[in-house]
Amino acid sequence: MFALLLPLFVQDITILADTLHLGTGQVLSHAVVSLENGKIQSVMEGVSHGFSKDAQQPEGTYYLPEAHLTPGLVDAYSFLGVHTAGYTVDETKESGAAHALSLTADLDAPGFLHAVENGVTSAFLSPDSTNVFGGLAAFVKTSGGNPFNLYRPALSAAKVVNAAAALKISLGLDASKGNHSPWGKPQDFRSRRPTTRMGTVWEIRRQFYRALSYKEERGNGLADANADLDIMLQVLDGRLPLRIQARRNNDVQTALRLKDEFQIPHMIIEEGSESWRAKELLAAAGVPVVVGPAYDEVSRAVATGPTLAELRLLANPPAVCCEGLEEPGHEDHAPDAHVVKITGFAQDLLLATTTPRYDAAAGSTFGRQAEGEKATPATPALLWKAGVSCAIGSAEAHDSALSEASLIHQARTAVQWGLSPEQALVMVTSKAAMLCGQAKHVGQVAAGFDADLVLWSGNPLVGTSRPLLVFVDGRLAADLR
Amino acid sequence: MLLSLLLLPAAIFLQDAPRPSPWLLRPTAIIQPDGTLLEGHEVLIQGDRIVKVGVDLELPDGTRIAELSGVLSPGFVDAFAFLGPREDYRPVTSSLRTADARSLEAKDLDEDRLSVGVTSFHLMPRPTNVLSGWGSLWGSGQSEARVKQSRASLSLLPDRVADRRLGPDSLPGALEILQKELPVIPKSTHFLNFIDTGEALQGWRSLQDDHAHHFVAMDGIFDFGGALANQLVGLPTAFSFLDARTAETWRRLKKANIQFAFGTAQGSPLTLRLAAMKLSRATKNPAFAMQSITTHAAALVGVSGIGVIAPGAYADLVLWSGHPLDATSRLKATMVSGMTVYRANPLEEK
Repeated sequence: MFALLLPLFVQDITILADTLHLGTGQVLSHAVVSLENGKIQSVMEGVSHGFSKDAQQPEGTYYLPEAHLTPGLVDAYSFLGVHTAGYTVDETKESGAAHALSLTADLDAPGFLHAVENGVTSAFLSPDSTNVFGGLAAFVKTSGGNPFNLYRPALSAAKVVNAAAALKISLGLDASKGNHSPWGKPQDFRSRRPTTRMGTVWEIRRQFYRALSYKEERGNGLADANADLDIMLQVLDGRLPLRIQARRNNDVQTALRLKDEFQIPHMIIEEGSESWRAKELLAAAGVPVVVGPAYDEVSRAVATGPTLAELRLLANPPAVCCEGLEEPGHEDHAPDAHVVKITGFAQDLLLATTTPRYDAAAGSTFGRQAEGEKATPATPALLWKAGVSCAIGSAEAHDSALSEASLIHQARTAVQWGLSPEQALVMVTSKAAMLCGQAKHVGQVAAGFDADLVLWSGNPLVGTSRPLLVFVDGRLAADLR
Repeated sequence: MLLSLLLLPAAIFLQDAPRPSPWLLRPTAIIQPDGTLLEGHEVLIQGDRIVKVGVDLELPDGTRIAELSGVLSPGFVDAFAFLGPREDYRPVTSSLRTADARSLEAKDLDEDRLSVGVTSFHLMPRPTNVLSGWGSLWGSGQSEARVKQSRASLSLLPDRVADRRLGPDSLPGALEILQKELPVIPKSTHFLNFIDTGEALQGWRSLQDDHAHHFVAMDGIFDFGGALANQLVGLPTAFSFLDARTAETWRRLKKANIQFAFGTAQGSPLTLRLAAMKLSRATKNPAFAMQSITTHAAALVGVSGIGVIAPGAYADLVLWSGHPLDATSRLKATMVSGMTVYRANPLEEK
């Protein structure tokens, strides 16, 4: 078995597709894509070939009638291998900026297999939000690494592409979870700030000011090297992107204030449940958002924000002021009277009993239930229409073997909530790659890009389509025909 | 059979006196760790060491001869047994030594060890600190004459090193401490590195530390055994991870050319032979299993002269009624450093 792992022989492959989505929004028909040494060598359009469904195809050539070929999906915000690895964030201090997630993530977690089977070929692994400074995020290919596990097939583990893809910071209440004031409890390392939303921002400011004075002292030879502060300086210099988890509208606006205060060149909002409420500010500041999941089903009723009817009202406000608005308490005329909303205790109970994935999450979903009351699956559509650069992430969806919550499902949901199908696909391919700092390597079908491709049974944004063949770095990683 | 026991060296009665006269042991057969069965071979011992092993040995003057009915095997080596008390004041307590902690009169547990053929045991500090201290190798039932300082203990077991007062409370915290501490630890230090996840292994590799080390997989080796090919790995016999696929896991580990060294950790000494028997059944390879509690265990501890029947080695020998890994075999007598320190009750031996 182990002898097999060593020689990685990548066969040259040709894929013929009736429909090819380039990942940039463009669509070609009757295209031929050839792969060599794990890269896409060439893409040709309008090639006629004599292959039919039943004809014997030569070795290394793939043609499936009616199939749609897309770039491998890029999950721009995921907890793959994070929650299954136990506690990957050390709570001894809030500022573990130099802790690299790539070292402590479970790279042969079953979640990566689920991701590949759902067409996700690369993923941004985000540190959990239990600390203000969560550490260095990683960018990985979901297949092609050698698994440590004795029971996993060869090359089925994730492969780290970039171990320092971004520094992750969390706003909101997640990071304050567990901390307490020094009164009334035994003293331990948890007797510290932050214990509130304000305290979280205080900690961020304090560390960045520390980094600034450290830079000065270091220049004068007065300070010893500090790995955490070195990472923060990289962020301040724009050498490393800053991922900032912000769910509530006020957290998003706090993030924008921090960007101004410290002149952070490269900031990306993560999760952004209510970011649509600050869309004009985001567009003006040029800050992109990676939107986390906002499920629209009763069993995962995380999104309790505006309904589709309310959003239509927002999108097309009545010409005459106040005409279409109801007074509170007018149940008869509530626009969503037919929608059963589950809130409060019932929602907690439902989440606790019906969705196992929430048990695994340490910090990320703690706040998702408490924060972001105005979350809506329409966030990608609203942000895109406002001109905010935006991608979609699946968070912990692939930890579960269910495909109904997978990344492509989230893109489909966004389409149902007003996003154009072309844009939805862009948001899980080339745009996602751009926000992960991999714009020149993944997320597009073009010569020179990594040969990460998915052949779908139909249009990927149609609910009945599913991946048939998944290629990662030119290797057939999943054959689901 | 009773007669053979009476003929065993009488040195047990003369513990304090010097023992200049050599003994020749003539067992029915000798089993070596590599599985070879030597019939008609003799073992000449003098003092606490084996002098010669062979056929028709030339005997020095005054050699006394013991005819033994049974199979003679090397005494078993417990590759790591944890010391009871622990020092949790700090996450790094690298200057603690288990040799300082054990009462030399604490023979109760040694009696248990001798009754199941364990003649040497490696006492390690509990891996509850990131760097817990130094281990020591002991001869069962022996005084300080054989105590040797051995390996240092390094622990990347997040659940065990977690400390809610001082930190660290997870793997990244433990790694950060190691990053600071390892450069000041002497280069000659050899670690036993206690791990239970693939992430710990991954994190350790990222430190790129060049101290010599062996891994001890405290749990879940199925999750990271694939990355330990061609290595000697310590495994606990207290099977917290014993499940339906343990036997298959062990077969896969052997296929990856991983050598086992069993230690009892917090468990009973009895489990050492039981684990070897189970390994023997799982891999259908008694020699491989025998090595896991003799030569490979000695290699994990880093001490030569134990776990073998060879000239120069300690005369740590166990007499069995059959093959030591046969469940129906019974232990008849145990010798440590040339002294018969345990004998099965003759009444039970009928």
